[in-house]
Amino acid sequence: MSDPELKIPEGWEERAVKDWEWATLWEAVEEGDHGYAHERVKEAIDVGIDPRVILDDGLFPGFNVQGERFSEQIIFIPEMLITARAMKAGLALIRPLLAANDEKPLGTFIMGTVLGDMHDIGQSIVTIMLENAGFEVINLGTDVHPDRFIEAAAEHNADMIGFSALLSTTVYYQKVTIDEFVKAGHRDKVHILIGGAPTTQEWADECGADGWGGDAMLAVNLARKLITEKRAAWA
Amino acid sequence: MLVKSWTCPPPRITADRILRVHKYRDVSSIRPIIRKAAEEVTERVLDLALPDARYIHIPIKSLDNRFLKLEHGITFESEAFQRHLTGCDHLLAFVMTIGPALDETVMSLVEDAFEPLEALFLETAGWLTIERATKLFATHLKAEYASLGYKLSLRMGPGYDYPAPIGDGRVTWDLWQQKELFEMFGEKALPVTLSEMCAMSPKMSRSGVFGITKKFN
Repeated sequence: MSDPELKIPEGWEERAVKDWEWATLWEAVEEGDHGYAHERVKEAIDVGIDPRVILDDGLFPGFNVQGERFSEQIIFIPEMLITARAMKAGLALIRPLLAANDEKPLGTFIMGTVLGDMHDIGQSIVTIMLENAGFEVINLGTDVHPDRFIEAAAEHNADMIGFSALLSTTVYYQKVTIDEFVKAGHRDKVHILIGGAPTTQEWADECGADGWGGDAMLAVNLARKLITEKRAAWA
Repeated sequence: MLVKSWTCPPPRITADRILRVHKYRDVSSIRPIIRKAAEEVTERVLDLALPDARYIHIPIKSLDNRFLKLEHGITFESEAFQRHLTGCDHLLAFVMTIGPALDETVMSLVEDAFEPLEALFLETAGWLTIERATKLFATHLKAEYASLGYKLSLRMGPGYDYPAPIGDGRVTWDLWQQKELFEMFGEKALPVTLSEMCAMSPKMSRSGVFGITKKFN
């Protein structure tokens, strides 16, 4: 298996300033050097590079290549997490600027663990990865009642919902929650992803989800794909 | 019925063990930043984990193909019992935890400090600690009961599956029966609580049963 290479964004020189270089930021994100990533993003802001350009040309290449390596099992979740921390160090600086420019996130994602389930580290990791990928994530935490998912989806005009379950007794609540979205007349407005140790693609199909996030990067890749598919609008 | 207690110092977990859980086969070539994080949590977990077990045994009234009935009316149901508990005259139940401090620290590392790698490794260290402490506890029980002339069966627990009594298949002991397992302790205060959906709190907790038989030489 070959090691995926970092994809240099085409035409990045035209979008940056004279004599600028991104290679050190790509490497900082890739290597998980959050201090240096923060420093380089600050410099980019200070010289007047557009925050959207900093995100696309400066931060995403390192994150994406690590995501590919993770999918190929060349690296594992710990490397993804240090990359995530470096990415977040940069994002923390540019997010307010993106908002001020009226830049919209890739989509709004409601995340939580289903009713009765108290496990949270897995969904916290998925939340981090989704935020890094450009989604706005509202994490409802653990033991979330189906009504709470529906309320949050309506309140935030959500594009996607993700719920995890770690117990054989609670996994059924993924189906219950999806059924509640159907009953409330909101199922066609959101994409629904499920995940968690006892879940499978077969269970995702059976319970009526749109996809199965078998691991954090599968969930991110699936979310990136599904967000391009149009859903009915919230009123 | 007497509820007994057991505790031990938190067993030491190695960084290599944590790293292997996260799929690193060759732990010698791991990046220093990742190894360092794993090494740090091996120390931290010692301050956060305090193994604490409670156990009780109750006479078995009957066991057929599917149902294990205890004195005092509690019934467990699984085809798995036939293979592992036949011949047992008592059932010992236990609950064990390493306490809530580790859970709280993991969440604080994710939400407040944004140290997801440390949180992940600490969670893994907690999991390894409760697994190791449960094995130490089982060793203690076996010695305790052996000294009284009894031996213990395989450890079993709701939510796990076991070899079927006949054939190559596997059969499950439903997780919902955690409720009955906890009922074996009556009104006694336990260091572990069970939610309506049978999730144990603190998260780093274990429960299970052993069958007890008279040892014949």
